Amino acid sequence: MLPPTPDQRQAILAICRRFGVSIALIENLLQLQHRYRSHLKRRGIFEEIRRLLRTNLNQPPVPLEAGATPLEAEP
Amino acid sequence: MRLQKLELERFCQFPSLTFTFPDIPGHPLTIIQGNNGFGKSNFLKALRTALEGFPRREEEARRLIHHQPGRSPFEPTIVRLSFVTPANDSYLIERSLAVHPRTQELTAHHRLTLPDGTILTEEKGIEDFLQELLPIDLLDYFFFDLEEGSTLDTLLQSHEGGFILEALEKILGLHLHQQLARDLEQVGRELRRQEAAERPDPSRLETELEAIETKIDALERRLDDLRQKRRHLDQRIEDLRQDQQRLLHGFNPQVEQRRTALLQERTQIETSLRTLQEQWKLELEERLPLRLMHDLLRQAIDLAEDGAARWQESEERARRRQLAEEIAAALAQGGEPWNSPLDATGEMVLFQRLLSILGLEETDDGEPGAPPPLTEAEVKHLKAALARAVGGPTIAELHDQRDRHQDRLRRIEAELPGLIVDTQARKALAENMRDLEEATQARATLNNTVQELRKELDTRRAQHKDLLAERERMQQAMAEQQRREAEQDLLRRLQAALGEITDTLRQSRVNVLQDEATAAFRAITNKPGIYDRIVLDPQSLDARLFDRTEREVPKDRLSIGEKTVLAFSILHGLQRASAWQMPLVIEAPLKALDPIHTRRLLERFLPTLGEQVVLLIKEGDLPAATWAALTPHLAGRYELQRPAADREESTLTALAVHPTQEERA
Repeated sequence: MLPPTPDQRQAILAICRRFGVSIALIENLLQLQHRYRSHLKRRGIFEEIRRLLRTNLNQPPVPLEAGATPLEAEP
Repeated sequence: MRLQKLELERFCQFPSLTFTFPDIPGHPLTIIQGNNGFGKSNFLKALRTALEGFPRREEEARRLIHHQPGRSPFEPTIVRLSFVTPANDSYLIERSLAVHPRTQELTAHHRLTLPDGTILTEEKGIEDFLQELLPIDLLDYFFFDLEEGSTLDTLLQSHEGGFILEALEKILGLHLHQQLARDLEQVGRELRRQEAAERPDPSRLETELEAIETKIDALERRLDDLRQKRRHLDQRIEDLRQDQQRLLHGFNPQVEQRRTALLQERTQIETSLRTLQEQWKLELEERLPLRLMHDLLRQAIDLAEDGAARWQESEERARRRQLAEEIAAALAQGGEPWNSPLDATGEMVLFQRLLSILGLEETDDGEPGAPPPLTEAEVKHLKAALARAVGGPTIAELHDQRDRHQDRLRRIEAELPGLIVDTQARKALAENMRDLEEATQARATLNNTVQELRKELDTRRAQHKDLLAERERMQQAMAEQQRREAEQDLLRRLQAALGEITDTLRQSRVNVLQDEATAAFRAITNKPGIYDRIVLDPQSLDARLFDRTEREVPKDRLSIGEKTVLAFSILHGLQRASAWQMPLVIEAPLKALDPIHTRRLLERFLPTLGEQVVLLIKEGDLPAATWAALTPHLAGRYELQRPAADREESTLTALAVHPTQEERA
């Protein structure tokens, strides 16, 4: 993986705040993708993603950036 | 990544070659020079074969096998390459190709040794592993021959999707983001599918619960009513029993019992007399004649078994007739009439039956007919009749029994009048007993109903319990549904955030790439006053060249030299923007370039293009003036040679890093 530069990381943090998601979750998911990067090893990745999502749901919500609103549910 | 060692056995024109890539920090350049046909292209081909595998087409694969006089043609062709990753992990890949001695078929073997000593031998597994280690699909970008016309097109083509774009994404470090986006989409689809399939519906359950609870209430009320009635019946039965005790008090039960016993005995005797009468009738009509005829029947059977011929003898018929008459007479005398006396007509009927049995029926004219021959079945029937005739009670025994019954009847009738009791008391007792029996029966019926209702109530309660359990599950499912909705909400936000993050990173890295490419292009091109910048499409990564007037310069208008410069510039940008530090192996890098481009490329660009740059050039390609600029970056210099003029063989020899004056000249 190519690590983001400090500027890129700041931009990513801003995006995460805007959408109310944790940067740790995104980083964990990318790490997961790295671990499962070979298609021979991809069995069970969806369960792992669900597990990470659920773990994240049990944690305190990420405060939204001032003025930002959560996404409307898709029709 | 750094190439370490290449070993070849019987590969193209190399009977045997071991080449260790020089590794001197700060000196990235390696130059391998050789004339036309000395093996530069095959050296490049060997590197690509090690990483990509042998050609799929058999003719192409066979062309890689070197045929050397005096050496078995079945020895394998081997390509062995070791390389080290930026994390300092060493890998060794070995591929061999052999011709089967008998079938002449080609067999390829592959072997990848991992840093921990694990060995992979399956071709597909090795390919997948290498895909993760290196952007194998982009080998055209890093190991290429500019003498081939298609290479430039590959480098500069438009990437509308496909594996090239995917590999470029990998170079830009975005392939994990892309894969994550695809996986999140799949998770979202799965969540929506689950939601549609498992959406709980509590209304149906509540309706069912309500209905069954109503039913249970009704059943319980009904049961209570019935139990109440049962208690009343129990009370009534108890009262009747007490009444019975009271009635029996002062009442002589022994007399009543005696009378009842006598009446029952009388009924039994009357029944027995009727049975005896039926038996007597049976004896008289069937068994008695048979019994009397026992001897005669015996003779008839013997006759039947002896043959029908003797039946013709008249004295025999006469004897039988006489016998029958004797039987009838004996019957008339011996069979004492009882209720159904044998009158003259009865005697005649019996006599006719005897004649029939004996086969002596008279014809219409009064003469006895010819006795019919007895068939086997008739003989069997006669034997059975005979067996019946000798069993069972005799008439005399029946008469004895009849006499005993009649005598007993007379005595019972004589005793009964003396047993008359109080009729009022008996009537009351009889009523009491009837009521008691009715009450007991009603209670039993009621008890059965209660049992059935209890069973039904148990069933309903079990159903109710199941429904309660289902409601609990439903509540869990609803909680799960809420969690799923929260998960979907998070997923949507995550997808949106990831999309923006990917776009941001892509734009940022593409900016680096195009800035680096533009800077390189400006440094090399000999038209800096015309060409302005290289722009890369963030999505397709397609490179476009713009001039100073902001107009796009079509790539097909560029000369081959300009295309080469453009390709090198993009390559430079990719190396700078990428997480992958790939070695570069380039054949004929200067082929299409004019002296100015060549000098700029060699002096300013190639030495800094990567950590390991291998140039395959022809002798004399390098202008003498450039050696001074190159030698500070050189790690090694080698020459491909042909040791024998009459054989297609090449060897690789190390040269002094600094070329001699003669070489420079």
